[in-house]
Amino acid sequence: MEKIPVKKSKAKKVLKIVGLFILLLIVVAGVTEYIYRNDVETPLYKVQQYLTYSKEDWANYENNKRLIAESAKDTTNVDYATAAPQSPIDTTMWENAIKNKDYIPESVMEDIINYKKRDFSKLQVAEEKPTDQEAQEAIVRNYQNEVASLLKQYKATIKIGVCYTAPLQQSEGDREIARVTAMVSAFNKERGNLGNIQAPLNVIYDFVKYQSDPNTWHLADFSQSIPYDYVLNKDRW
Amino acid sequence: MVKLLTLVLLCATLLSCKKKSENDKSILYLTTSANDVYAFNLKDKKLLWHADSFNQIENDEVNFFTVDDKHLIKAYIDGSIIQYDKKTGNKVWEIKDTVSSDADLYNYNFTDVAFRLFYQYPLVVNGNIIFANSHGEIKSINIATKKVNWVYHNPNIIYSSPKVVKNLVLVSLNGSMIAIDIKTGKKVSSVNYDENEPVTGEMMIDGGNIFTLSQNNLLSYFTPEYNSLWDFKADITSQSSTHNMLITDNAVYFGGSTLYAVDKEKGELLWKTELYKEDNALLSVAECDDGVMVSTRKEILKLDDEGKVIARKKLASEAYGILYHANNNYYYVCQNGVMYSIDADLKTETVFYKGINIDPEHRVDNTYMFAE
Repeated sequence: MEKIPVKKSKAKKVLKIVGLFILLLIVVAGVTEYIYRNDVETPLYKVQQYLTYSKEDWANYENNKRLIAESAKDTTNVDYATAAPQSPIDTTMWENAIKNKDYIPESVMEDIINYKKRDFSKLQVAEEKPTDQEAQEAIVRNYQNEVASLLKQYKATIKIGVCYTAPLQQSEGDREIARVTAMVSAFNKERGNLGNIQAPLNVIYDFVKYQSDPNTWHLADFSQSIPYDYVLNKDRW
Repeated sequence: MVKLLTLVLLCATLLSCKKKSENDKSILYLTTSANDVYAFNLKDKKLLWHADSFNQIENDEVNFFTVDDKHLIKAYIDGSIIQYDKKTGNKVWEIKDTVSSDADLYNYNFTDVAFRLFYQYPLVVNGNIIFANSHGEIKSINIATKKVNWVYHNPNIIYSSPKVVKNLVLVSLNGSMIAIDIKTGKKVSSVNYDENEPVTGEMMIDGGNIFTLSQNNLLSYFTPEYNSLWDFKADITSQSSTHNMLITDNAVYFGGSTLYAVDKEKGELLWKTELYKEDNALLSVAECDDGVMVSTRKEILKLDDEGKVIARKKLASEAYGILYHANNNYYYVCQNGVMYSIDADLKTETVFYKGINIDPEHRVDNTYMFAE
């Protein structure tokens, strides 16, 4: 009588395949858990490390890993972005257009909406502030000939509006002792208020005094949003 | 073998050509505290031309000059800048610097400061002259049109000439140094000197980097981006100045009663040598083979490369101003109004020219020379 070996070998084969599959799963799980760490440390790279690293290399590697992990937990050095201050906007220019439902460029409308959302309630009008002359000198000394020639050409002088106390800034060099934010405008006899005439003269600046030179106001970029100065700019040319 | 001999001969020829060109200076230009200008033929010691001084009450300190292809351009302390034909000494061009018309807008306080040009060359760059004045103004003026290209205003009196590195005009102010774009006159950057080490003297440029010497003898070497290469603090205070400083390929020499030699690359002391104890002054340091030549008011000294005095020449009349090296000789002016030359061994002193105008009323004894 003949045996039927086919059935037995089939069962063995199935058992072998299942066994190999399970073994493969264990290997994959092991690789995933113990070898594959991240995109940079691929399994092949890890194998290479095992094969080529000396004891010192491993010690160094483990130390680096520890330092990276610690620095990831350390949040003391994180810089948080703050919203940039916005230039004041003369919304009256657009009021009629809004009332008449005339076309207003989308970007202007957006600026007006954002402007109206601004909170100026915490601003304080500064007692220590530059005079018109001091503001002009700070501007001219900063821009030198670019603005000096502009003022000469237009026979203009600078006037400064309401000054708001601004937080003192910390820097490596000289210590600030006073800082204000204000709008400025150029004026002459013929045309009155010329605004900023042209770049590089701006309409808003910070004016700063330093400890080493406590009697002189220096120009700086404006550091906070302030309301549009309608008194300074009442008769805009 | 033939190829090797040819190469050796070629090298020897090139070296001899170089030696010849170094020793081939034919004209020496000189100015003094009296502000006369002289041009001499170095070979036959003849005076080629002489431009008289003027306004001697104000022009009582030396001011320098710049020589280009055709002209010698000299600054005067009273604000005059004159371009002379360098062959004839004829006046070609002249301006008188004054306070800029827009100075009132800056309103810096120079009420008690006389308007002067202190120690200006002026610089001549691409057809423009660049200089600074005592009212804090740094200026660029086009020579052809006399039009002011730009003026940069500072609150400080400027005591030294601007320097140019690439496209930057660098100026030492009281307590700080400023870099200005040479074309636009706009400030590019500035840096404050250490409060305890004020620098008012001329900065020196070498290999694109900058040397400054503070009033308290701190020698600093840094890049135009203000990155420090090294600092060296001399331990003995004396009347050192960059006017009597020498920079060679390997070392920087400066000092007063004690001369310091500092390794240029590392900033380390190579040697220091006491030149005199009292009643004397270091006037100038000039390069020589294997050491330096030094002039003091009373004598000329030759120091070897270890700082040892190997030769000295006592002077019959006190020296005045710089010691200038040209064609293996050293030239200097003495208080008796004579210009001398002496060989590199300090053995043969000869009268080069008698009758240099020495104004006894000048405030600082100094001369400036250039040979080509």
